[in-house]
Amino acid sequence: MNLNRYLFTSTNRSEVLAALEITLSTAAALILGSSSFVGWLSLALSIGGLLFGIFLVTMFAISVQVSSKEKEVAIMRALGAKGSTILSGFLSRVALVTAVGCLLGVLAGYFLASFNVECSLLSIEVVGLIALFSLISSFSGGSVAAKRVLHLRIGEVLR
Amino acid sequence: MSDESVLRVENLTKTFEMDYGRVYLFGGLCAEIEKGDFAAITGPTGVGKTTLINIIAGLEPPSQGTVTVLGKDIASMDDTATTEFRGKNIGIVFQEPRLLADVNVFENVELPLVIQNMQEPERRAKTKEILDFFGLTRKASVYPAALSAGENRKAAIARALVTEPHILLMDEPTGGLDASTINILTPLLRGIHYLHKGTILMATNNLNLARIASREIPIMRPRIMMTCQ
Repeated sequence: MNLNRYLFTSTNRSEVLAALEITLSTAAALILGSSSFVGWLSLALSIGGLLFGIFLVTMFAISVQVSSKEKEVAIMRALGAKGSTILSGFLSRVALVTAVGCLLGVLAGYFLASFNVECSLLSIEVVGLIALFSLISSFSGGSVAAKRVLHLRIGEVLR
Repeated sequence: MSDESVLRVENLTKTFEMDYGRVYLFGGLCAEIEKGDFAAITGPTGVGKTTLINIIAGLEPPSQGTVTVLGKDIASMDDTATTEFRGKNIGIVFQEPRLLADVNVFENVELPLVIQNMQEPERRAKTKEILDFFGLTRKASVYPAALSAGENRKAAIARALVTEPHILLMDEPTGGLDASTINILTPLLRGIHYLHKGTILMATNNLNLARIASREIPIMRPRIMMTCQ
């Protein structure tokens, strides 16, 4: 059963914010990762910080989205929709935001790095690794927030 | 418990912790509703009518006592089993219509059938049929914000009935409506009982409306244990 057409009738502002943050941070991580002038330790710290930022912003954005959809979720649960079905709807949305953000970030980062003489380490391995870490941190951030739909107190929300 | 028993409430109490003390609702309520009954839960505002509806629907747990719906102790089931049981057997009309604002009336009424994974042609036919019964066919493509209060309420009742549930729970179906709308809805509710043939449990503080029910379950005033300051 697909309840997404009931839950997500339009693009939420917090989703756009999350996708933008993922795009910018992924692009920045890619530029940093392919820079030849940055030391290994500072490189690891900077990229780690960017990825942690992606995790937090995605978690916050999806948390806002879950809060704004509390009533809809509670109505659907009261009408018999399982928590796991609604969670999978939110997770598919997180996956979409994550994929769009990462793809745009990789394209923007690759474009900027390929014109930068300092980014001599740009390779398919670097691009792949940054994209993978960006996907993992953004999806896990969104998933943590989306799991809140399983713990809604339906009776209280519908009062 | 008789064979015809659809709902059995035994020694039910719900406790709430408030700033001023502890509130005990229902005071060990016992009641039994049989198949085809139309029962009205009555009592003034604040006695816990909505809470009782929520407990019977498995949306809130009781603090004490048991609630057996169609032979199942609703509080002992896990969340997934309760949700599935509710979807198959119980139709709920909330105090507010609670229609989804971003989809039209047809999609709102169709929603419980979507949740039940019913095939689209059958789903659409059932939805059209119930919209027709409630006189909402011309409003099918309208969004809830453009409906009158009475039409909103009718759409909410249609949504609850579209799955042909064994039990229909209605929380203040005429609450907040003007007298003329109540006069339109009251015979409709009586007609629903006649046609639905299932069991109806309606919470109301409108005594005129309670008269259309075949029996009444009065709720006692809550007991409050004040905290010493």
